[in-house]
Amino acid sequence: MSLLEKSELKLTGKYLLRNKLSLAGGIVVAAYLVLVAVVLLSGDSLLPYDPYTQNFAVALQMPSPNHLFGTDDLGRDIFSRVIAGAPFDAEIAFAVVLVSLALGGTVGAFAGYLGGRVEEVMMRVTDVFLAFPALVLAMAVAVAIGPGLMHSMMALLVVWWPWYTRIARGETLSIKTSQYIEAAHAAGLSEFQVVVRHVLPNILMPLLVYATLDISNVILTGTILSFIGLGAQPPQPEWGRMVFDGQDYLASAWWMSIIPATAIFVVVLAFSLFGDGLRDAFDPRLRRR
Amino acid sequence: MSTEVLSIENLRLNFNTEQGALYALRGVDLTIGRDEVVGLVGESGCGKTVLGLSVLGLNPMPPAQLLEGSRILFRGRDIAGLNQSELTLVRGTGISMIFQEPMTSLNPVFTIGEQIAESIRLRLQRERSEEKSRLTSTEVEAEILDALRLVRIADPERVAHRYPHELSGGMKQRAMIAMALAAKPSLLVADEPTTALDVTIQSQILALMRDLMREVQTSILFITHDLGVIAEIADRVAVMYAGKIVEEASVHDLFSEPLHPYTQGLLASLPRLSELDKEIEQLPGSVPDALDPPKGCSFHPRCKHATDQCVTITPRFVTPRTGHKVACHLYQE
Amino acid sequence: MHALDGVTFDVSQNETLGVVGESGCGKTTLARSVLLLTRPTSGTIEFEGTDITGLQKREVRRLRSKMQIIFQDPISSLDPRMRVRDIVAEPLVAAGERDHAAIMERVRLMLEKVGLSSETMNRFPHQFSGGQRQRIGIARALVCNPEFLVLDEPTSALDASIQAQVLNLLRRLERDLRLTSIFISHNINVVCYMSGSIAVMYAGEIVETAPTRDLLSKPLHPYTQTLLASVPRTDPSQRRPEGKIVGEQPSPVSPPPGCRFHPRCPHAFEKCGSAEPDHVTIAANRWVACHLFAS
Repeated sequence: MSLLEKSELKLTGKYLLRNKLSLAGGIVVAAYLVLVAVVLLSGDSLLPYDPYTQNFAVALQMPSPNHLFGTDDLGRDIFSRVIAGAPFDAEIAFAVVLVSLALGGTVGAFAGYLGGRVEEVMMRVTDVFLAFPALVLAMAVAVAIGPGLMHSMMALLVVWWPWYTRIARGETLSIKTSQYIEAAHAAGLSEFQVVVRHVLPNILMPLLVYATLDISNVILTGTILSFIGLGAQPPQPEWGRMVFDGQDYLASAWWMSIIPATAIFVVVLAFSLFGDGLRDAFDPRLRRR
Repeated sequence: MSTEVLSIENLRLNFNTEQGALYALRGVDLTIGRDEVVGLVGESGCGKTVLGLSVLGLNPMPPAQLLEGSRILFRGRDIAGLNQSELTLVRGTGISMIFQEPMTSLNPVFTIGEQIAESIRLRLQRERSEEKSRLTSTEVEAEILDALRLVRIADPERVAHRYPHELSGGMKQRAMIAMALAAKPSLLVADEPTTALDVTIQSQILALMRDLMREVQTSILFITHDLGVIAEIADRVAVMYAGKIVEEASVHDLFSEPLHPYTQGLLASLPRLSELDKEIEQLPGSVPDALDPPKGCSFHPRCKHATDQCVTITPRFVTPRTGHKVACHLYQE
Repeated sequence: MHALDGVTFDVSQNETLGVVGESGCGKTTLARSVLLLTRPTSGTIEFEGTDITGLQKREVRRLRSKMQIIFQDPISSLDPRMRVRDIVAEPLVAAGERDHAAIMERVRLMLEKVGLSSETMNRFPHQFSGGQRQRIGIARALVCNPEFLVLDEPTSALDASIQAQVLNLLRRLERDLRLTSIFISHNINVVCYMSGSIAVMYAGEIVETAPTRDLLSKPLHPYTQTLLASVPRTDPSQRRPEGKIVGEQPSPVSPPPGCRFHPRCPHAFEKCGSAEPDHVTIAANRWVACHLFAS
């Protein structure tokens, strides 16, 4: 079973390379992921300053060669905190997206293929979940089980997977009438086998493309949750939380909020641009240029 | 003024794709005279549809590219190099085209009558520039009904007010022919017009087209893969293979004495109701890749008569019998 | 909507029954129903003497290794993301075969039988031409040694020269493997070449059935006559004048009363518009549904 044949990879790569914006986005995404990996592997050892150590003597200093991004109200180096904080949102985003992809994708594929009552029930359940605004539900979960990074990730998981069910069902419906699905049925495979062997591999690509675009959404939502106090708790250097912490100092020490906000902006934009390019690259109609 | 309606000379057309140049047409010469039905026959990938579209400049450029030296003479005037706005004056009035799927060629939001009227108005534009009198709206309506009657539609009033989706496949194709002929073109290019139709409807449409030939003075370039259809409708036939014409003759000569091994193979591979016991002959191999056609004679990999010459030298046209030309080394002197 | 209405026929062992008809006559639905890919609303299907119509899904799946189908479209009938060897192996996997080596050996043998080398096993469908893809489909259908085969327009999407290759291959295989088949097509030349007897379908019903030679030498039903008369012949000296046939096949949603062909039939008389014709047996293997022959 192949997800992507060599020639398809080559054409996709060629197309991506030609699209400058997507390429830029892709480079930033790659840099971000490398950064996250490095931080996760090396801990705080490579950072110029410990992200948690407070030093009131140097509090609220402007960006300087000593402190590239300045210091915050507790004297902590913002540059070190931004780097150290990178993995938080990445972890949530990838965890939420991957689980949603697996869960939502499978449910949607079965719903779409089996049709009838099963599809009805599954899609109505999905609709119930889709009706919840993510933030409100996350807040409810936080109230119920307490705030924290792990808890906000669980809240997000609950509301995020139904979107993938919708897409997976749509994609399944469009290939359901293909003759190779009929051939699998005629060969004697059970419905379960048909979905696993034929439907899932063929809907994987569009789902992956959507997932890439989606990562930026989850990152953003994650930072917002932390901003309103439901996600990462102090002293964790999560970017959304850092933006919150710097609110009171916007007039005097703007770098406390603006720098982490910019980091969020850059990463979210990079994932969006890259995801767009990926989607266009996979669209066979757009490739004939 | 020449008697030829259309004269194609050395037409070469490439498609520039990501994988390189696709040689769709590699030097095609073809003439169509007045009141003549020329059948263009070949299998998928031989370039026949591209040729039909080229006559009207309908291949998107890019990626299509017409090569130097290609000429398409319509009533003596070279239209190969015309830009889109100049071509619109030729299309629909001098040359009309009908396609395989009437479903996608007819506009679903206009009635049949409205679409035929459009053809008529285009013709009037041309005639007005030649200082003919204008027609009033009643006259346009009368022309619409005439056009529908011409294609043997029994109830033209009713059909003129119908939308395409309300008509059957055969009716839609008749409506398309009516639209094409309402403009009184000198040449009608028909690209597989009966392929999507059931065989009983197809025979009706072919008989209709044959009768129309006698009534209106329009030549037809009839493109199809179906040799049976060609036998029913064409006066002369050109056989295409890998972007070139390999044989051209009158329809009787081609079927009674095919010369090119490809034509022979094609005819032999059709199951015939009169000879069901014999195993039909099959041509080995398959149609060549347009990205990399074989050198020399493009048919040589599949030809049982191939010699060393065929591999390296491209055969030129010879005329072993009057009116019957073939591009094959077997017949060179 | 009655896509098929009261269709009755049987196929003897080692025989090929051809089913011919124009679009909308129900032949595709027939193909799907015979294999229980679509459940018939009513009626029975007997396979080797056993009534299989009411079987549960699991039991039907077990039957599948004995009855297979070859599809029309070489492009969409093969999963683009699977390698050829997995595509061809699928019926064996579905039948419960676990021995991977034995499965692959069988796949290799089957591919050779249809004229493809073992190199094709690791490739993907898009690397092959239409004719080759159709051969892969044939290998898949025959890999588990079925006794019964339905061929649904297997060559309609292929060029004439490739069609000849595939038809000859099919004829040879049917003979060597002693298959019983139903060959469906809109092209009467092809159907007659491939079948020993023919059933002609119109608007959801079979209107005539006969051995091929008899049908060709003496077609009885007016629709059969029209169909044969409409087929273009590759002989320009035998051009047909515009036939007397008018109109088109009725839609299955609202067929005309009585004989469904009567509005277009040159021999229609009063009874044809009110009563549906019964099957009239003409000879041992031959019947026709037409009032002209009722005694």
